[in-house]
Amino acid sequence: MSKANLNKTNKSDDANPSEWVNKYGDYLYIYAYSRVQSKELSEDLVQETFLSALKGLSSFRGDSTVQTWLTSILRRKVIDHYRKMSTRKETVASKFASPFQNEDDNEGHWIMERVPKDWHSDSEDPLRQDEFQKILELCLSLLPDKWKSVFMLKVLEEMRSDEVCKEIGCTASNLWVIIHRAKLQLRECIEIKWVK
Amino acid sequence: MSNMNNIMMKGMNKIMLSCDKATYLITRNEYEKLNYTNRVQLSMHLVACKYCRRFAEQSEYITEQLNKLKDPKSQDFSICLTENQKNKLNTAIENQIDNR
Repeated sequence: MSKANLNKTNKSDDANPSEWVNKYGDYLYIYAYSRVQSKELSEDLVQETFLSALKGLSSFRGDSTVQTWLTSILRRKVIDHYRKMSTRKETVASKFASPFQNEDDNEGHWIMERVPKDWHSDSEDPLRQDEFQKILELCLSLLPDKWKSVFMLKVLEEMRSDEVCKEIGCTASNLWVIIHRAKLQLRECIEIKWVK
Repeated sequence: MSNMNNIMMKGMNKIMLSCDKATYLITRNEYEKLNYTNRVQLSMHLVACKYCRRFAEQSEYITEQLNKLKDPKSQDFSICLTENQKNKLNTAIENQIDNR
């Protein structure tokens, strides 16, 4: 059998929707979870992905693998989720408590009680590294909605700044201020919860 | 003399970045190339400020771990669909096929 024929056969098997859940369900679920950190939401996103894929099945031409195709649909769902999240009114007014001083002479310098602590003994221990992933997920979920949306699209989805701003509705300089503050809060949250 | 020191300090503050600005540039530098002035300012600041050096190290570590987090292949499989969830998904797919 020629290679082209082989690919065709694979395509028809893999593209059979009754096989999708078994073949790609877990992969898509883990993909979604790694981006939204909620099992419930991940399940919803995976279901929406399968239903959108069914509607668009005739447009799937087999140029990519079924998994790649489904993942690209899911990725769009994740972006839509963060776009909606960024416009939601925050239930708790998020006030950024800057770790930097605001008095004249020392303006912009670390507040002594909040300087970064030494992480070395923690980050070198493999057991503590596993724990780090859990704390990282927790601290990501604690970011204010708008910051989280910007941070996830820029950092996790690696979108260009102008693409992120198009989705979220922010200016380029505003985007970096948000990412800066999100990183400061994330770092401090990790330090409080993880560093012994 | 102390007046002179004051003036020098004020001048230095203009050239030297604050830690706020330095950490901003450290984060931005992970995704974009900084301009020449910012690069020089940042490396001068990092020579002088041990806390921002720590921040830079930790920021890099966080980014490394975020990259692990987003790679589905590096995730452990403690997260996967339950049989119940799979059945629900299959039912949703079948319903939509029947409705076509």
